[in-house]
Amino acid sequence: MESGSTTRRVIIAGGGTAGWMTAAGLSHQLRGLGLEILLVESEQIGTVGVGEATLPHMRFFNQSLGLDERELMAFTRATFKLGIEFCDWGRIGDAYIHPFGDYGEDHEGIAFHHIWQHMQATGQAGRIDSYSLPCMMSEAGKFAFPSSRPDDLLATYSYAYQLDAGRYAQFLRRFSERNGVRRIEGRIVDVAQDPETGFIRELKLESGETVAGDLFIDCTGFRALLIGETMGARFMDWSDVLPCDRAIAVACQSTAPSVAYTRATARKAGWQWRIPLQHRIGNGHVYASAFVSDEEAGDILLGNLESAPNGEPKLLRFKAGQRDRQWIGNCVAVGLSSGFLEPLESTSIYLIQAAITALIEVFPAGTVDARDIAEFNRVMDLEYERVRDFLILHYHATERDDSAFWDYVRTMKIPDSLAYKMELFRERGIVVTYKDGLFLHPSWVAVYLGQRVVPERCDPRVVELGDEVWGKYAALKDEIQTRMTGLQSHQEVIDAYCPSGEEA
Amino acid sequence: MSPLPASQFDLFVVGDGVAAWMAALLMKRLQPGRAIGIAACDAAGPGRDDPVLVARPGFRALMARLGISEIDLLEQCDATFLLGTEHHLGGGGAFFQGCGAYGAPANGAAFHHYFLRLRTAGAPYPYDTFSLGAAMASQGKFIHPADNPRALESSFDYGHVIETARFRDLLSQTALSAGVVRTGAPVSEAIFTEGRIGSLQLEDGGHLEAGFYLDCSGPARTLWPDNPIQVLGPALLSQTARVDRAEQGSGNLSRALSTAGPSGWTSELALQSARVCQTFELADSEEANAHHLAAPWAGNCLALGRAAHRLSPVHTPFLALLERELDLLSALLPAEPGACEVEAREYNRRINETYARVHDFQTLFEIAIATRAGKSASAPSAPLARKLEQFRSRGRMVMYDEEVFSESEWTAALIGLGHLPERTSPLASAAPIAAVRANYEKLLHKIGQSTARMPDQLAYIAHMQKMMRESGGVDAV
Ligand SMILES: Cc1cc2nc3c(=O)[nH]c(=O)nc-3n(C[C@H](O)[C@H](O)[C@H](O)COP(=O)(O)OP(=O)(O)OC[C@H]3O[C@@H](n4cnc5c(N)ncnc54)[C@H](O)[C@@H]3O)c2cc1C
Repeated sequence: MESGSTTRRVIIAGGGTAGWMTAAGLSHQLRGLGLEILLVESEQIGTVGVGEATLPHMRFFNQSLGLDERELMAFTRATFKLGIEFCDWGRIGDAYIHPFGDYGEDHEGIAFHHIWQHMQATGQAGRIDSYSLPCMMSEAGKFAFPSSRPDDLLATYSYAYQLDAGRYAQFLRRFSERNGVRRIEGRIVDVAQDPETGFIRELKLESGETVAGDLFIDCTGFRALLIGETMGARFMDWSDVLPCDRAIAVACQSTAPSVAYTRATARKAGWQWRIPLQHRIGNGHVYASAFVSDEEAGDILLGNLESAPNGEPKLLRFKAGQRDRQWIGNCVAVGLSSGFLEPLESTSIYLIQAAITALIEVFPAGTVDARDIAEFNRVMDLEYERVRDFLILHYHATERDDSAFWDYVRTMKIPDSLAYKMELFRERGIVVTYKDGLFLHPSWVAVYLGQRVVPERCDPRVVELGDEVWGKYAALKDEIQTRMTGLQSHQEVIDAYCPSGEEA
Repeated sequence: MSPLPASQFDLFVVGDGVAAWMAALLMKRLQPGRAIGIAACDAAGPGRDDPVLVARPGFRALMARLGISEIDLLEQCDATFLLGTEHHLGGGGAFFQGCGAYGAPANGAAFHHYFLRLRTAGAPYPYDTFSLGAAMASQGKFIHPADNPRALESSFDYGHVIETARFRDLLSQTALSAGVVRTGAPVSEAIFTEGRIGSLQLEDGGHLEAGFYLDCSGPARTLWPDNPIQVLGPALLSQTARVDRAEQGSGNLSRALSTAGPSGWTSELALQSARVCQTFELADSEEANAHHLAAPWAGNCLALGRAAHRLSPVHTPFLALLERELDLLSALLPAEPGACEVEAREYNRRINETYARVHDFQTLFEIAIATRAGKSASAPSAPLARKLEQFRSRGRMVMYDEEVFSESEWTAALIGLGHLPERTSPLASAAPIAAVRANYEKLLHKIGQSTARMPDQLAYIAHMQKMMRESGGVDAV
């Protein structure tokens, strides 16, 4: 597009999760603009083919498109997700759940984790998880939909999905095509730019066909064909603080009823995921190749499966980091082309969603405006940086010294922004949260306490609380147990609500 | 806890104004077992800057923690309910700035995008006609907001106008009866050991000791006069001494009026019994910089209120800032006064951002006034510049951490002061304009009907008082 003309034709390059989410979002939310949307993808190249765990935000994305949850879950063979269980992170043998919900409740401005810490010291607390309904449901293999009544115990959490992301993309493709998005099969071999403005004019396909447009969304995955190769956005490498750079992934049959949580188990030079879908368990080993060989990493993965693998394990290479600009000229990066943060907290699809939301809000319906580009890049930088800090916390907050990898991450220099947050929590139990942060107060508390970052000082009012307050918390713990007994198992809810019809 | 000698306290407050007494009372409520003392210092006589104070909606939660009810404020401090400020810009321009909602968002786009579409299509409605709070304020009406979030009557919020001297008296009586100890002699200075306050020297020659100190002594900063300051930028306006108290007739109690003059403006705030007018003029002197302490919390001493900041008087932000200062202090209460560096660092980080964001909001108005007076306006800070740029560009409202003024106030002020967006959100373009117009005209009709049914504020207050008396009396303080 020449700066000065109007956006009519949007070209999405790439048809992975990012490409089809973008197509669905733009074609639905911007239906009033009369855009023509084309998506180019190459079956020959294929998609990255992983990405099964999500965050609750995805539900709001789906709702904004008006998608039917039951239909979507059945099609993607999805299960519910109430949180992530982290095993062996602080020390070998440790386990905690990071739930999508609250622990306990604050008392007159005193944060619950201070109260819990005091109860713990006096031997009357029990695990902090026993004050969280989503933690207890996860452990017991149960599930219930959250309530919309604010005073209900069932209103203290949210949920996400564990799904087949390839089928999610197919689902969104059908949706988008119904909205008029046109799909073009073909491999992009060249990109033509305006010699004066540097704006992308058209994509050249292997077949000789050209695809011209006004705005180009780069969803070509790790290749970053447009934003990187063509527009020259630099990759900012964060491997010094997030050294994992490979993954081996393989699915296996499920041998037990499905549960509503993902598991992340720390290994000698990385960690292994276990994501239960309706018809299979997704597994993968994310590791740092500087500390373990591919062969050994593969053995670790296969040695820790609960049943025989469904096929050949797939090796993926990546680097942690972010493009220095995610929007340049008339090219916007969405998905893996914009950067990558490992899937420890299931944030990639969230970051796709955040980019789509930001793009829609500043969409160049007229001409591309430098102010919109600056705002989009500012918002996305903030998102990446805050997720990055939260991920680093998982590695750095450890007592493990059983391998060179853990020695490295335990002692590495971390970003000042995270060092500040950790110091505040360690010394005084204060959680630094921001208006625009993805992970809120309970998430930080879960990881800090779950990984043995225990405050040295508490809110001084805690010691003055009376018996009626302690009684209130004991009653809360009992109420959670009582509510739990009446709930259905996660598998029962799935069978009744959204069975995929696939054999498990 | 073993009782401390009469000259020893856990926490000691220096000052005699609203900040001092409110801080002392709050600390006593939060930690009733602690020994909390207070003493005036000469510099902080009760002649405070503002004859009246303006409270924002969040103030109600603070009052509840202090154990002071709304009825107490109405009956003992001549207080009124405040829905917002009506700004008269000269040349016929006017707008209302309130904390409640304007219109309602649709399809993920904020209302002002639809407003701009309506305006472009020739619809004759000013922005604030879509605010129930504005309609109530213009007619002097008041009721409490409804609890049901779907009711139109839940779409506004309110603060208070309070008479300063009486409020200070109410706070001090309440604090003393809650167990705060007032010592006799004024404090003359703090005596430091290794960068921390060791004790206080009294004017009668005596000494006092505490674990932690709150400096509420106003601009004199008695405890730490040479604590370095950080300049935010010029404060163009200074407050003149002129305060007119007019008897309240049957006037409008629900709004503040702010009227632009050739080189400043006049503000009019309503108490139940009087209207208080203040005049602000463009200041010429360099002295008038807006500033705050670079580290309001240093060692075992925290400065609050005017001891911590000197911002422009625009929007009377003193109480809103005090509310934020005390909220932060409550969340970061020093566990061991001897070791609270991280608490201090976090307090300073957040409060300094708060001061800066309030200064931004004030700058917005000062630029408008200076421009009209033909004076050069101060440059906006980088965050304000970005906010202005994004709003003017496409109506996108950038809100930062630690804002005091709400998004709806920022939007009303930007639109009211003429910073109209060049483009609107594409999300607002989905619905046809006729449908948008029909939808919002329905809202206007409902606002009209709802306001017509409401009582005048004075009548509402009288009704509240009667109900309280009939139901067994006013909450005891
Ligand atoms: C090991 C691993 C585990 C992950 N786990 C999770 C998880 O649990 N949760 C989560 O949210 N995310 C996860 N992710 C991230 C997630 O997989 C991606 O964010 C998501 O799949 C989006 O990828 P994408 O669409 O950007 O790229 P891709 O899936 O790689 O899609 C790229 C598209 O571009 C097309 N393309 C590329 N080059 C050309 C060309 N020259 N011509 C034409 N077309 C081209 C391809 O054909 C394809 O359609 C994980 C990632 C990895 C590596």
